[in-house]
Amino acid sequence: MSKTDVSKKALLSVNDLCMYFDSAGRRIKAAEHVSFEINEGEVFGLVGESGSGKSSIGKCIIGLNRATSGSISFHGTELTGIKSRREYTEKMRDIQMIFQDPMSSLNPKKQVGQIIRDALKIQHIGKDAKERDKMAADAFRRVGIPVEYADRYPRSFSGGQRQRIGIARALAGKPKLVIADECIAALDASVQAQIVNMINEIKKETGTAFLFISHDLSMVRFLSDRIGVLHLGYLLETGTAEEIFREPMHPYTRKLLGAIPRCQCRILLRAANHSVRLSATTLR
Amino acid sequence: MLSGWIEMSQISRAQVLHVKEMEYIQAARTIGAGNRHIIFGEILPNIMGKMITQIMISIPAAVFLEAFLSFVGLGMPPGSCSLGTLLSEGFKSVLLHPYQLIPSAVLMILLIVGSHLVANGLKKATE
Ligand SMILES: Nc1ncnc2c1ncn2[C@@H]1O[C@H](COP(=O)(O)OP(=O)(O)OP(=O)(O)O)[C@@H](O)[C@H]1O
Ligand SMILES: [Mg+2]
Repeated sequence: MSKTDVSKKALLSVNDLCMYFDSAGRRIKAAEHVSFEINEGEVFGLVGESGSGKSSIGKCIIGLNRATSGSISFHGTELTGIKSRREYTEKMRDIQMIFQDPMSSLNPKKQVGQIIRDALKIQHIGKDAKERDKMAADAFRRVGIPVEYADRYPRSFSGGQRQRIGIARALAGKPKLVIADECIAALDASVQAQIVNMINEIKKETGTAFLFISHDLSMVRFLSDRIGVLHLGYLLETGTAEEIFREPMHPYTRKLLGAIPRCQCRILLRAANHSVRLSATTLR
Repeated sequence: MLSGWIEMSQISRAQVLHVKEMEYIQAARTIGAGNRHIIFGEILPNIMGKMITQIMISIPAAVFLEAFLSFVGLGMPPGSCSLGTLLSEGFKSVLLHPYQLIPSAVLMILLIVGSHLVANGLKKATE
């Protein structure tokens, strides 16, 4: 796998990001002086145990949470100070998100094609309805959902298919960065492998960068070019996937790596490789 | 009858609060959708079904309440066109002139059963 020859241009850089929640007089530190960069076309894996602040960082980038201090710059424009919605839409078009729960991330009252077309329309992507139609069809094709299914409602799809539709929504406008927050956690193992494979292919074909948030280290290892390890809001270390897995610097990382059984890791990877063939035959 | 809206607003509030937490609302937020789109485009279609059913369910209850109040003499004045007053007039002379009671009683039964059936049908259809 060519994990080293990605272009070294920073797409997103997070600098000294702090993100605190003040609730009931207590201050919860979800992110403490976190700095990292995501280069164009690479998958950055963010790992850490539950409550370590992975989602909070992702939400800061996409604008669902407000950073307490620090800066997030995307393509050279600063995202933390954006006030008006118009400006926001302008700048955020190139960052999209894939959600965790495929059951609740699609509006049950909208046809799935409509969901994607609406998303494009809100972001003013595409000249007219016809172009947006075409973009939606392309997105469906890319995630392996037959275009004829576009006028069905979300309830008539399985969890894995819905997650594909969620991915299609994120990819339809050809973003540069996609934030995937635990996007495989709600799926079962074989479907997880298919989705991970698909993300891998999309990354290779379109050069889209991903922030892949997960606590499943084997999946992160399979997919990521670089990995950041988060613990209680602190980013302990970042490095290429190989560096992190071969010689973890931080004792916590070692502990985290020790926690995955080696055989499970291998089986999952094999499942992931296997399903390339599986999905190729079942989808035709 | 004046108090009918309380339950209704409680139910719709609970519905909105429930739907608001769904990830597709967040998804709309992340792409910069405005409040108007989120309220009318995402939330309302999802609570419409429940609200319509609730309205349909409250109709028979309202009809019954009105009839009951008029029957015991607390509702519409005698002479006005109300099922309750018709029933109570008919009831007074039920032994001599049963035909005065039967049509209004049958109508009332049909009305209540009918709107219950419609409400149930709508409930099934919107789920
Ligand atoms: N809206 C909120 N209000 C107050 N505290 C919050 C809020 N959201 C998250 N937190 C707290 O911030 C910390 C980090 O939460 P976060 O959701 O980012 O963790 P995570 O790494 O994504 O965990 P998981 O793997 O379980 O998803 C936690 O201690 C959590 O309790
Ligand atoms: Mg999380």
